Amino acid sequence: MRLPKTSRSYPAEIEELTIGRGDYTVGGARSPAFLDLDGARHRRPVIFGEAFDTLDGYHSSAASMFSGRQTDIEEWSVMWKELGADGICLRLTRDDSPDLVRRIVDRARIPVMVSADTDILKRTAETVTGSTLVLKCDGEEQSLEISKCSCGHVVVAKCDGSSPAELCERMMANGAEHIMVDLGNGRMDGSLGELRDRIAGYRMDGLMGVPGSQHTVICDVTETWDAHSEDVSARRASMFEAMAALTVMMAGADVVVVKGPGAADMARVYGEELADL
Amino acid sequence: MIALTVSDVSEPNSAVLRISELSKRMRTYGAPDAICVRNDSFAEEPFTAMVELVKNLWTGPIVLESDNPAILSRALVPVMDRRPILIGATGDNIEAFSIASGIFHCPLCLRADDLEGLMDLSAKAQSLGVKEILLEPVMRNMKQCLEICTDIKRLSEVMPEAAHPVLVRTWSGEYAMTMAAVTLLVDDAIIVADDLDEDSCETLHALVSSIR
Repeated sequence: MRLPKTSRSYPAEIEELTIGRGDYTVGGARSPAFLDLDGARHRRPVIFGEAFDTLDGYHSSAASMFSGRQTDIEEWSVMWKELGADGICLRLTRDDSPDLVRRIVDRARIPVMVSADTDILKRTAETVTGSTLVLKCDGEEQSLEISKCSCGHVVVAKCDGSSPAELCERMMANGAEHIMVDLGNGRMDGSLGELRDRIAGYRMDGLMGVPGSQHTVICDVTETWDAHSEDVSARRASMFEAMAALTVMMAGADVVVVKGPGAADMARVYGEELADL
Repeated sequence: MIALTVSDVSEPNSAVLRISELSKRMRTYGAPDAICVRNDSFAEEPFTAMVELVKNLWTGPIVLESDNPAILSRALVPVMDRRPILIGATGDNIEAFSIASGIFHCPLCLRADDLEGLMDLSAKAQSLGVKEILLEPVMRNMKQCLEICTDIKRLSEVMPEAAHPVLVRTWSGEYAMTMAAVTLLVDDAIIVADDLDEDSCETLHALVSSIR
């Protein structure tokens, strides 16, 4: 039986962003995620591993996977590089964070993302040069504020239920040059299906050329660990996290933030195989 | 549906333990929610005996897998009221499998190496009166799962031969879990795996519950 052609083409492409020292490119998709049927670009999402400057409240099962190096955030960051992560997501609270980020950028030499309060983010953006950071904002207000002083770094548009296109427009009006869109965190509960639909919908809008929809998408799936008690096995928690990562990557996320090295490894391998690398 | 396999070459005692273990996983983790009895012996007696055993110990859906429609038809009699899915129909045996599917009112799963062959088989099964068809494309890795399941989904919009549920046959271990996950994310397919451990069962069940 002769089958009808099912491949599709799209009038637009997702924006490309260069992060780190210019050696990592994210985005640039011209098809739904990974789909060779529609002429996918063979590029996988990048995986960031998170590190904290304090271990208060940090999941003990996750901590067990870092061989004690999680007690020093610089060592922890270097360990993420050794584990094969594409980047490090630093969750910072201390006043000396900007200098700390600069040291980690110089030591790890992979892309760095920073999550912190507005003051720390502003000072870090001014302090770090020579490497493009991702400034991970935790709400619309912070996204708009950081846009005023992003110093050429990438600013995350954290969409708290509002239109991503509108928020990005306001951020650009405030001075943001490079934007990554965050449509919500990935958790292994009923919200995952809605998040998947939001990401896939945004990606399709981008491919169809809807104005304001061509930005790359970031998704943080570390909250999947919150579904488990402290005594959960690291393997089980990692599998949950990896499945959430796979879900958002297949929906179209270009950057994924994970908590555990197991999930980072699985997500990277999934991405490589699906992107046919 | 996520089905795990019980082979008819298993010793009776180990088969009882296996079914009991799968029942426990179902109660604890929500998966598997079906058992597939596979005719690895290529003989009638052990297959029929294993189907009887599963019938008595497992209350959920049943899948029967055999390349031989005669063996499968005889083993099917005691569980016909459970309307098991029948796996094993190919271009070589479609007529006999279609008869079994029609007599026992059971869904029939069709297997072919490529989509053209699968659509031919689907058209033939429909012409032979099969009421419930499932499609089992041969897929060897998660990349093929993504591409082929998407292709079938799109074909189903324009071809009645493709507008049937997809069944994915996979192996055991974490890679099998990932194959299953990719399939569930592209299409709400039926998964039949050789085996998945407790962590994999819980993870897949959580994924299915999260995205539906």
